[in-house]
Amino acid sequence: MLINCPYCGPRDLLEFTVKGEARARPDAAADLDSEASRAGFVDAVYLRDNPAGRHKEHWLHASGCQSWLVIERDTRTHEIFGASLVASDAEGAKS
Amino acid sequence: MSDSFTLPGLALDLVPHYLRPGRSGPPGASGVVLTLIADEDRFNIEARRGSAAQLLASLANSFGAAPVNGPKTIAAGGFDFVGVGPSRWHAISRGDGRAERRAALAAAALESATVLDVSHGFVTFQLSGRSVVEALAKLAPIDLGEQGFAPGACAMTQIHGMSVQLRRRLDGGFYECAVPRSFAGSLYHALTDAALRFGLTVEPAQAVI
Repeated sequence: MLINCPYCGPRDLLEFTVKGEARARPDAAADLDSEASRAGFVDAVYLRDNPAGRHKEHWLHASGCQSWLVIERDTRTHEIFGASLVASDAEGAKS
Repeated sequence: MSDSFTLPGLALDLVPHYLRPGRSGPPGASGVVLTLIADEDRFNIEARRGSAAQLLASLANSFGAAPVNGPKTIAAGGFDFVGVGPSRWHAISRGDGRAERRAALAAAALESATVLDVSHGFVTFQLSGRSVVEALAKLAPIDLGEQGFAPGACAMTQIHGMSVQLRRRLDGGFYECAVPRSFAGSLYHALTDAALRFGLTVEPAQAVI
């Protein structure tokens, strides 16, 4: 399986590590002790969607350029629809 | 910047234990020649967030050309600037006059980037010869063809599970594998195993490593 790294080009799967579902961080500016905030953190830390179909995930090009990528793929066919740097300004930000 | 590690007496006059100079493999001309690069300065340059354009402008101003944000080599001011990641480069310089170049790099880059001297953290093997691509293709999971890996190309990839910086010099005939120093012995054995069937010459180590 080849993943088209935006920096390195097409590379073998063995160079990459998958972290899991790419999702927005919970709002850390709100009251962290509220019921809604706690539920948001539990959801973000422990609960993961596992769809049969298109799925967005964080991958690390660990043996390559060491960039974090967002990769959209089909979990049934392993078809990859796109890969982009997490740091959208391409400044190497590890956000 | 201190110039201490190039002073005579401080440089290590040692040959690494794994290096076995000589000729091995089938008779005939060697297909692969392996050389340990002894005297190089290597700096890891990482632009601060939002400062990549400023860094490139400053380097272009000082050295006449700027690195590109991609896995390619640009030669400027006595350095080879090799792209290793988004807004990250290795600046490699060899031979005489390195102290002046080091000072010039610091003056040009420190305003907008973090510059780390990793000269002693990396070991570089140079490979050449008519079978060098075949030997490397046994190890690295990347396209090493003339189109995929043109002169000046660079790839951070892995060989035997080690994270290796593989690059082709701008003159085209020489390939280089750089690894963190503690992996050097393992990489040496991987390279020599892969190259043996083509006929391998390991050149004697130079005086200073």
